[in-house]
Amino acid sequence: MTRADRILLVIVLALLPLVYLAFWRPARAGDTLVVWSPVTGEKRYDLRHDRTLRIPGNLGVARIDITGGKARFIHSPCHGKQCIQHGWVGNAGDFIACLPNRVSIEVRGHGQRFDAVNF
Amino acid sequence: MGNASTRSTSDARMITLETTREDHRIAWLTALAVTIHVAEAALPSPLPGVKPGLANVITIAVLLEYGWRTAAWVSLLRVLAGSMLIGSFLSPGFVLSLGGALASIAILRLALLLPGRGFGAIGFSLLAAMAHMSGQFVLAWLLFIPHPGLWQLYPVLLTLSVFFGVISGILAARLGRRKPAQTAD
Repeated sequence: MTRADRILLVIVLALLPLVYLAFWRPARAGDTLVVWSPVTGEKRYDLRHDRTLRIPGNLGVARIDITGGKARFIHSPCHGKQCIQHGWVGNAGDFIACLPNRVSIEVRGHGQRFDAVNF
Repeated sequence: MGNASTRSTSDARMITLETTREDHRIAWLTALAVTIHVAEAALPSPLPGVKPGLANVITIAVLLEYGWRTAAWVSLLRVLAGSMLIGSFLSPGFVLSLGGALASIAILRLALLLPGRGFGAIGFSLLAAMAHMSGQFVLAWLLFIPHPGLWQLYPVLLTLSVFFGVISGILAARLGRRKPAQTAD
């Protein structure tokens, strides 16, 4: 191991924690809710105003509750109700898709954060 | 590669390729690297996309023994021949492999510019491993998963590349020390 090797190793090990800090930013709260539906298309709602949305989908009307900067499905005509089971979403990048009813919601904000990547 | 030239003999259809000692050396070393490459591809990995990159050991040992040119040849031919044996030629995995190999031989060229005694096996290996992973990562992000979420993986993969880079460096240093008296030609 030469001196250059040792210096390089020390620098790399010192910088590694900084890389974690730089790339692992905590989740940030979103400020906009984007809603997709085959009936209404894409619509945006402000997450800061509490309200209940009634979004018509393929099967019927889904109700989405916006409270305190978070959103959730509270009613859906679909069979599985996974969209309701998912609960609250509030961080930028959070997503709920109700496939049977084809109503999807996504939280948008500064600094998108995704929980899964697939291809 | 080398001074390969065609020469027609008495039989007009016969073509002889002239090969240099360097060509043979590159071929032997590449065969060794390809063997490791293929063996490693057969090993199951606990994490998808994570490999120790043991073929890197050959690249570093060749760099120290025969210089950058030979190391670059061995590295690129290994990716090409290895992908054909595995059956991943021109697949996304091959593109990433090639990108990683190009990034690592590029950083090794820069690392050789360091004045003084310069880097040893461990330094070269560490730089090559980090460059290989980062090159692949940027390519994967640009071509296949153009998604900011992908970068969440980068610190983890960088940590692993440092770990495996040092291990490969130690192995390459040992390989260099235990060199046989005559090299195969």
